[in-house]
This record gives sequence, structure tokens and C-alpha cells, in this order.
Amino acid sequence: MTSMKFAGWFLLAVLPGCLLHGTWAEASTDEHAAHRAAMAKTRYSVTTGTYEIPNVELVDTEGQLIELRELLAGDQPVALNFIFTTCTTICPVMTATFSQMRQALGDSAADVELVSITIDPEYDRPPVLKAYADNFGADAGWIFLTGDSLDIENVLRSFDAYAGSKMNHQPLTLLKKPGDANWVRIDGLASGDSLAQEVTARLLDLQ
Amino acid sequence: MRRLLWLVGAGAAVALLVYLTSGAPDPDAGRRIYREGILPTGEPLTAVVAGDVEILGTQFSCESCHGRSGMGTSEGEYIVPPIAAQFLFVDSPQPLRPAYTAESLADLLRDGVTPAGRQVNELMPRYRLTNEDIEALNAYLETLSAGNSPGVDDYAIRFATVFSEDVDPAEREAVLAVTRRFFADINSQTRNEGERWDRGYTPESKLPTVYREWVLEEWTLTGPTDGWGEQLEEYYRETPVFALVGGLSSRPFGAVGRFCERNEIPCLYPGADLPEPSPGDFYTMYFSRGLGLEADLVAQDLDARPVGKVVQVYCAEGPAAAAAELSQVLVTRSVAVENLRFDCSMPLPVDDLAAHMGGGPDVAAVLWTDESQLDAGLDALPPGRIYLSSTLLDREAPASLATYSGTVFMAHPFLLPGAPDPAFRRFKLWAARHDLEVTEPRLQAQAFFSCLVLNDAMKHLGRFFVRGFALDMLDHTQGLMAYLPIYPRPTIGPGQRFLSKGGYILPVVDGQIDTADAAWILP
Repeated sequence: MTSMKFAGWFLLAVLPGCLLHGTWAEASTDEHAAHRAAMAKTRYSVTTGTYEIPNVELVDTEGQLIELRELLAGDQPVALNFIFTTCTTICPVMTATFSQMRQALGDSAADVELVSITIDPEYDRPPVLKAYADNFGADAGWIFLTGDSLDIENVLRSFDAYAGSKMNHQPLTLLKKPGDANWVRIDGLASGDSLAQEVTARLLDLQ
Repeated sequence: MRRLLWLVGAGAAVALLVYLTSGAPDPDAGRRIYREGILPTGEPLTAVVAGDVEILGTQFSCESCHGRSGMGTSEGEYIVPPIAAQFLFVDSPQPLRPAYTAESLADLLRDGVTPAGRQVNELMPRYRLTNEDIEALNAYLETLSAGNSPGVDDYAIRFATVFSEDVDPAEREAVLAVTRRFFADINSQTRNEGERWDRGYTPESKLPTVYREWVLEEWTLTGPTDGWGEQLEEYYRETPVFALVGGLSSRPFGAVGRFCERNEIPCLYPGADLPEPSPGDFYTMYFSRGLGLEADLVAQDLDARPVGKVVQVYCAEGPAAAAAELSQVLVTRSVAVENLRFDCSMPLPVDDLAAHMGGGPDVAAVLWTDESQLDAGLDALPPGRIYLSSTLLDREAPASLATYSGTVFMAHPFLLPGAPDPAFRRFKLWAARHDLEVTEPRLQAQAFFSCLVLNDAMKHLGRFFVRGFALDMLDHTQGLMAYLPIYPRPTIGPGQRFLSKGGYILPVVDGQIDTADAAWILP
């Protein structure tokens, strides 16, 4: 009975889509192909901009002081996002996306510096941030930063990413080539593969 | 006889049911999947999110987005729908879909397809789950926020405010006056709403209403704190309440916190000098860690400016617990600590303290005392460093140390003296409009805030009087922080239970708190 019901729902759910798209042959070998295709359609927009980075010292997961300007002006391409550890929905996705992008980049991953800055520095102290980073398998090329809440607010404002309350914060990824004043700004949730493609094309000059 | 037959029949039915369900889905296992993202095997769930991003259940449990209550939430432009029993297992008009079954739940969890055949947003992970996992999760979801929590009936919702008997009666009355007045205000803001329920002539024509009269219970705790748990249970058995709000205690607050965790009762912003949280606590929200935070501020300052020896002086139970916390930290850092407890009915033993401090400047004394205990003879202390508690001294430097030859600092987990505090001004206006005298500024403003928070939570609930939902909603009220008086830099979020997390170590110069070089410290 249960399997009958299951099959019934399955047919209701999948069959119309399959018939419409004429993908029955595919669906019979890979019955979730349509689902995956729908899921892969993530929306994001890409623009460029220049930002005046404030002269602030932030703190990494080991408690070391980091000059933000110096870090971002290094000789490696940079990918930057804003997260907080108690954020639900989008932050874990953005963090997991960074993690996925590293895998998708393969050997080139080592060439890109990943920077995740918490927008809740009062709670996300270095040990909290470290546990979060570990949970997402962050390694040496991926730095998590906290700091004084006033400094972080400045950083957010300078990237035009300040949303007032952290509960309103929007998914944003920023990319920059070494020596380039322009940042590539990706608003919205990009999938790990899309992000890897953007990074490959725009940061590493590879296709 | 008929009754006996019925009983036998029922017994047989139960036995049959037990037999049939011996491999029954386990809601406890389902709860673990839901809350922690851990499978019955002990392994984390695995899933794909946002199209192709591989994730683990420990990064994405059900709770992390849908909330403890399963009532859903929103973040930025993303809306997480409710999945509590009363939503999931009924037909939904918007978006249109039939009620979920264990089978259609499997389709959703694995492939993101609803019973209506629609693909849900890519933010919903597509989990890899066995049939047994899904059955366990299904069994848990069938119980999740299935009905109203205790403390609510068709006409009224009850809250309790808890005071321990050690609280000064004047302080208690001042705080109670605010809370009672707030409740009276809420109940007077609706006209005849309470009668709405009974309108109409047939049961079908009676209108359901979300209106409930707020009823305030006043609970007093007596004797040693280890008896408080039983007293609270007794009060609660007598009159179940939906939540605790405000209240006051200068004693360690652990017993109240544990009571709230045990019974899953929200405890909103008690005026507790010394919260004693346990890891993973969910139900109590505090302003700050109070004296515990002050202890950490002192420890941090001693790290930056070490001394050879630390002497702590205290009499009451709350300060004693704070001193114990500080001792523990200092001992792990190999700092010599001597603790001096005196009888609260006696004056501070200045001579004894002087002897412990010795002669040298390489010593710090932490005086966990209130103003009345600091009245005389402190000039005679050797010229070391003295730390004071801003909580116990009501945020003011004591006059008795104005001519002390050493240095004096205050551990101050509050807004800087003189800093603008619009939320406090707002409270004062409210008090003036309600003919309430502000005699205890901090405590009364705190009580007002806890009522504001309660009101905010109740407005979010609508007709779903579910405690977990109230807390899930409050987890996202960063906007309410604009109304928090007294405390600096508040932040809130899921799992965060202390609004203000840091403080200052401020020097006292010529009897005045000096804020010129104030630096924000997050221990």
C-alpha cells in the first residue's frame, strides 16, 4: 500500500514534467535530472566597483591582528564574503559554497585567498569563528576575520554591504585581482560551480 | 461486565499495536536529526544545497533554518516555511498542496519535490536519508508544535515574574510596578475583545480570536537556592504559565534557568546578577552574564597588567559565586589568589584585607561589595590596585575610595557614564506618562525592556501559542535592540542568549569614573 502511494505521488510529481520536456528516456535512467537542472538555476548578478577599504585591524581565528588593507592588497586574487556563525539560511550556504568552490577550482584553489568576515563580531569571537571554520573544513588559504564591531561596520559600509540589522543581510561575494582597483561584485547566491567559473574567468584569467 | 470486556479488548488492541510497531519509528531519533543533523548511526546527515554545494547535517540541521518550533522564519529575502505538525500534515491552500505523508515527505527531503509536484527553493538541502531516517523524522514532526503550549486557555495567557526573597523590598516594588503597569496597559488596549469569543448563537458562528488577557503571577523564592527548583515546580503545578518575564535576584540564578530548560518555558530577561548558564541552554535570555562577565573583564585586565597576587573580598552568595569564577580562571593562569569571605552583617574587614594585600604595589584586590559595605577606612589599604563591581555599586564610583593612594578600576559591563541612552529616555517618558516614579533606573528600565520583548514575541505568535516559536522569533529581533537601555552593543541570533557580551575596565580618578581611554573588551 505504501509503495503504491509512493509510486502514485512520484508519477504525479514527475510525469507531467517529463512529458512536457520529452525527457522520459533520460528520466528513466536518471530520474532526478530535471530536479537537478531546476536546482542549478541560482540567481545572481555581477557588477564591478571600486571601494575605499578602511584602515582597520581585524582579528583572525587564532587571535592574530590582521591589517585588512594589507591583506586585500596582497599578490593573490581575493574572494571575500560576509557571514555570521549563528546565521541561518544563507550564511551556511555561502560558506558551503566557498568550500565547494575550492574543490571545483582544484589545483588553482591555492592561488585564491578566501576571506570571510563576520558581521556579528560581538558573538563571533576567534574561538567561535574557529569552530565554525573547522565545521566547514576551512584550510590555510581561507581566513575568517572578526574584530571590533565599529570597525566591521565601517568595512561593511565601505563595501556598500551594510544592511542596518544583520538579520537583513544579503548574499554577496566580492572578487579582486592583485593590483586591480576594481572589485567584481556578485550579488545573490551563486552555486559552487558558478562561483568557481566566475573566479576562473575573472580572477585567474583561465577559461 | 461490559466495561471489563471493553478493557480486555483495549488491552488486546494495545498488545497488538505494540507487536505491530516493535520496529516503530523513533521520534527521539527524529528529534536528533531535526535539531542536530545527526543520524541514528551517529553520522551527520549529508545533503546538496543551492544546486551543487555538498553540506553536512551539522552545518544544516532542520532546526537551523526552520527553528526549534518548526514554525519557520525569514532572513533577508528568503522565507523558510513552517513545517510544524499543524502545517505539514494538513492540506495547504497557499502554496496549494495536499497534506504530507511519510512518502511525500521522502520526496521532499530527497529531491525537493512537494506533493503538488513543485520544486522548492534551492536553499532547501536535498538530503540523503534512508526510509528509516525519514520515518523517524516523520514521527518527530507529527509531534512538533502540534498544539498550544501550557499557560494559555481560550481567554487568558499567564506569565510569571520571579523574585528571590533576598531582593530589597523597595527594588522589588519598583520593578513590579513597571511590570504590572505594562500588563494593565496591554489589557486595556482592547475594547470588548475578551467577549468576542462568546458572540454568535451557534458554535460555528463564534469567532475565534487571538486575543488573550495577560495575567501576571508573582512568584517568590525563599531559602537556599538548591530548594528553588522544587518551589518553582510547585508554583508551576499550581498555575501553569506560558513564560517567565523580568523579576529580580541577586543570588546565583542557575536553579531558575534549569527549571525553565526542564519545562521548556521561555524566561525573558530576568534581572539576574549572576546567570549560571549550561551549554546548549535554549529557554532563558539574559541581558548579560552579569557578575560573571565582570569577573572575566577583571581576568582579562589582569592578563594585560599582571600582578603577583590577587585578593578577593565578598560576603553575599552572588558575589561569592563570581569570585569563585574569577579564582578558577586565575588559577589556570597560575596567578596566586586569596579569597576572603566576611559576614554580610559586619563591616568590610579592612585590617584583614590590608594584611592579605601586604605592603607592595604588586597586588590587586577585587572588592565584590556594594556601596554600603565600602564606607570607612579604605584609605588605610596598601597602595595596590583595586577592582570594583559596577553592578554591585549601581554604576557609580564609591566616595570612600576618593583619596586612596593606589589605583582603582571598575569592571563596567554597561554603557559608559554620560553616553547617550535613547532607550532609557524612552522608558523614562513611558514611566512619566504612567505616573511611575523611577527610583531604580537600571532595574526598572530592564523590567520595561523584558515586557517590550514579551509583547513583541506575542505579536509574532498570532494564534499559534507555541513557546518555541516565541523564542525562534525573538532570535531574529535584532531590530528590538534599539530599545535596549543601559547595555552596550547588544546582538542577538539563534543560540545567542546574552544580549551584551562585553564591557569596560574604567579607572576611577578623583572619585569619578574616567571614560577618556575606555576600550571595549570582549572576554
